[in-house]
Amino acid sequence: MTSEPVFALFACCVPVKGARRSVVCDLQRQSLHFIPNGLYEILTEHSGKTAAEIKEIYDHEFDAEIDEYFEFLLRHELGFWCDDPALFPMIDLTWEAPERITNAILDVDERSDHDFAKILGELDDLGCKALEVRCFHRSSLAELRTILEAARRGRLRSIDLLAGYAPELTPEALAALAADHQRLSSIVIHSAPESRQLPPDRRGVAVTYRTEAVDSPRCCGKIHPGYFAIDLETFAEGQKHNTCLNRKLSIDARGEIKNCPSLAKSFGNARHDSLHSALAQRDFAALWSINKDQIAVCKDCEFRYVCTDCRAYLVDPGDLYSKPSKCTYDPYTAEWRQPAEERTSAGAQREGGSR
Amino acid sequence: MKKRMERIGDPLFKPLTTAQQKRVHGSVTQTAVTIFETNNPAPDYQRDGDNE
Repeated sequence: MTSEPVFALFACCVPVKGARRSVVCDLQRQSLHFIPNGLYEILTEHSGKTAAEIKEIYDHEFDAEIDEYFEFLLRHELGFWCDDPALFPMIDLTWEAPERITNAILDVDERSDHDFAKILGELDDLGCKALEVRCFHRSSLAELRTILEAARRGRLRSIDLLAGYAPELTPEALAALAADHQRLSSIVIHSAPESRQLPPDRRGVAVTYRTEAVDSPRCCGKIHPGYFAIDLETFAEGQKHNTCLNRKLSIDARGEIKNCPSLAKSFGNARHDSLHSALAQRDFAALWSINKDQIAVCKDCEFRYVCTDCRAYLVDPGDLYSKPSKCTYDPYTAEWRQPAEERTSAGAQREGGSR
Repeated sequence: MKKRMERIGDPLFKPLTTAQQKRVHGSVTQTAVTIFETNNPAPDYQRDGDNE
């Protein structure tokens, strides 16, 4: 115990060092705060020291900066002064999940011949709790209802629906669909005549119309701050697992069972193989444990534990440990390179990304 | 070797702008659990999808 107070971060506020700058991830408020790497050093290497001791370490050369750092942390409610920091242990970042599969993608196009009842039933057996259904074609209301009806029973907690525009997919019809299928978390209609976002309904279900066409799995894999998942579950999972593919199972439009619809490797076809048998194959979980600390460039990025990653579209397709090719962030300069499509149309676009 | 301690007010440490974070989902997130937590302070757990 010290006589002078020392600064402690709240357990839910975790610093992450990047090459050019660091962040404090507030996993409770789901926000990020950029900090200098010098402050990261103070919060980690000099944790448990008083302000006077820290200033002494730096030969009083940066006293003003250090005072600013602590003011910043207090202002954003990221930590507090205390007498005995041992009473406030760090949060446990062990990640465990009882489900064999936590999330799944089901792709559908005009040539798909899925047995939705079989697929949804097997996903349910595996404990899947989140599903993204991506209809690449112009979708009818009846077709969407058929898919959702297969998910009416079971343990799914959340369904994100992406469908191609058809005139009958009016806001009223989609609101009725969401009311009838309460596992729906979001509905995105692509290839719409105009972009619009309807206010979330009472349950928080957002219906969005986008003009962009999402007509294949190739639209996935974008890395964007809007997709960051700043929460304890993702952050903890990301310590040792891949934040996109871990415990994921995908069925592409042809019924091929894969880790991700954009990956080539198939582990069987859902028409005649069970999802269980695909999962039982030795290689199925091979990509699950590729974490961001192992990926080139990403391992130096301050966003690495909240980023959704992509192992399908890589800077070097021959290297499974290379950076996602659709990531425009450079952690060495802390700059985002604006992609061409965003230079021509304002705002970010969600195009079928999962999680 | 002494390290440089940058000023926290430097533009490099400014928060991401709303435009930078803009995405379709806006105020809601991906899972039902967080939707309840963020959008409905008093969720009706009797109607959680399993007890329709």
